[in-house]
Amino acid sequence: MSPRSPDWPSLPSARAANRRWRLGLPPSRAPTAMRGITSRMSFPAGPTTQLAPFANCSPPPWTPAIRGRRTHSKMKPNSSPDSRRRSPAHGVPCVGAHLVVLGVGGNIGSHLIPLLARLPRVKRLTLVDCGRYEKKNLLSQAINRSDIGQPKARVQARRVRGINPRLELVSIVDRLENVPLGYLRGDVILACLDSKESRRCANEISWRLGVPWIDAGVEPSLMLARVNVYLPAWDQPCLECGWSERDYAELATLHPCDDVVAKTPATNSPACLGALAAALQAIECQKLMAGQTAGALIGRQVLIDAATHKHFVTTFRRNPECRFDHATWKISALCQMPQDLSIGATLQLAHRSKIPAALMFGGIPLVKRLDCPGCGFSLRVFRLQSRLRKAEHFCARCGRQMLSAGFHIKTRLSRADLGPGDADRSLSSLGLRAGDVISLSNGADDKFFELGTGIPSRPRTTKPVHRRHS
Amino acid sequence: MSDRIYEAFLRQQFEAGMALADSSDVLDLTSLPGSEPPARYLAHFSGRKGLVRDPHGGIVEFDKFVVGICFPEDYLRRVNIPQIITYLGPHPEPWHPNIRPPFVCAHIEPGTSLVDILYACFEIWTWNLFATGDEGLNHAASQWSRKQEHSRFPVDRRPLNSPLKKSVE
Repeated sequence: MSPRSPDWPSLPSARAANRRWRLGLPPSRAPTAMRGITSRMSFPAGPTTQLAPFANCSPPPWTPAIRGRRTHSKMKPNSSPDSRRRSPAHGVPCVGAHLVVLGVGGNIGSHLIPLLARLPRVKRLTLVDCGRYEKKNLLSQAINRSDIGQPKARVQARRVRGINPRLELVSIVDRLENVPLGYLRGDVILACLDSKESRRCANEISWRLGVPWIDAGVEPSLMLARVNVYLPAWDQPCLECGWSERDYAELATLHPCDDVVAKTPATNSPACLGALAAALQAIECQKLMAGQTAGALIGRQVLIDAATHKHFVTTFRRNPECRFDHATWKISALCQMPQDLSIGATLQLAHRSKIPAALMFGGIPLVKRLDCPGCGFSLRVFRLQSRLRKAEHFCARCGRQMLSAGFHIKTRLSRADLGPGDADRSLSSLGLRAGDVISLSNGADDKFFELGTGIPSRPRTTKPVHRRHS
Repeated sequence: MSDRIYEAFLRQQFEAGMALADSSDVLDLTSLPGSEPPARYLAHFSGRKGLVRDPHGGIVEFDKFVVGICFPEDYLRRVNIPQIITYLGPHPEPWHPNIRPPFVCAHIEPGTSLVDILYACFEIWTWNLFATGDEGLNHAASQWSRKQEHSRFPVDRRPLNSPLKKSVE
């Protein structure tokens, strides 16, 4: 298909905005919603010409280490500024880095954020945390009494703004698995997470996007702090390369009979130990941004035993029997918003590209029916599992969490699976948002598309979602 | 499909599951199309008794039970039990603390084999296995089972494998 195909029209204003952006010019007087990520949300506006250094970077050469970064697709008429930057994984200093921090409000994250805000090469921070501060957090986390009850991501964003008002900030108050992948496409992902399942999710996101990630953790009973650095590549060790059957068995499992959902227990780690892990993480992040891949901890772990003043460095190897496929997605941008694209049109796109049509949603299953394990009430839906509406989450009769059975979900949607009228449904009606990744598959070959990426849109703070989870 | 580990797992499950079905006169296992090797199965159990509630509210024996088993692409790494096992009938009201259509609550970990899942389903159906902690899925069945004499369970003691057929190693 031609890039100028009338089926996939590009927006002139979007192209103009991107051209101005690449040239380092301030955005035009277009509505804020069309100004792209140079707008500042609710934070004080800094000079938008901060993004000018991007224009000095040439497009990266194609290497396995940066697979999965945005590619120049025929369907995408305007290249994104992100694609014109060097990856820290490439070993070249990254100017104006975009850091993504997962779990910003915890024992490590709350100490890490001020350190990142003071790093010289950072231009943009995306903060993700679904939690709110509680009174018990005062002892172990770097917060004030006035922060209690507020979303962690927003509290930390406010702190960053106080330290470095020129930083671009996006705070996302949502669970990690619900955040569109496009929002997490940075230069480095820093994870300060408190559960195995969240780390597994962060590992998968990092590999899918081809973005290096730095994991940190603490063990308060032994006064241990550790940091791991992972560089997504086929032959590089991932988090799961070191996992055994027991590790997988320890992951949270959703049972239909569970009425009360288990919560991750707090680490109750002293603040100083979290600060130690955060400092190690910031140092490794600085090395990656500076392109010092030789000195960075890639594929290794540093563990500091604060009780005996010893430190250990462990090198990991790629486990050939790792259960994670280590695949990095080659994601092309699709210059269409989910509300403008119907399921039928998406399948038609695959047809025109001579790919037999099967549409997938980045690993998120499509739910066709929900059932209440408490009272047996059932509800017909047609929506992605992690994007169910609040009214669909809980039973209208007994209030229990609704679940979907395996034979009532679809992971691949082909034309044969569609009922009357389903082809005309928009992708947004399924719960897809700008930044989400969809794929078209013919069984052997998958093509990945990020929705709405050709259109500069204002970064939004997603609304908090209050749900019970396992 | 590019995940070789998952693909090898599915192939192994297909072979082991079909071997178990061949050795049993109780189990009829059908793989559903959609992927190769198959990731979805229909397991028909017949000839072993479980309990159901009849339209008049009585608890009676019934000898047919169908479950659907799915292996999602991330099955080796995480488990969402409602999406692995689905109760598909034929009786609309099975009577067991751990079954409430379409859900069956069994102990499954990432990578649990198809044969283990089939045995778990069979043992649940015949009341060789039942857990009433937290009242299970079917509260009424949990309370009912606590009032029964222990000798009543399991409802059917015969094995899944037929002694007349070749045994599965």
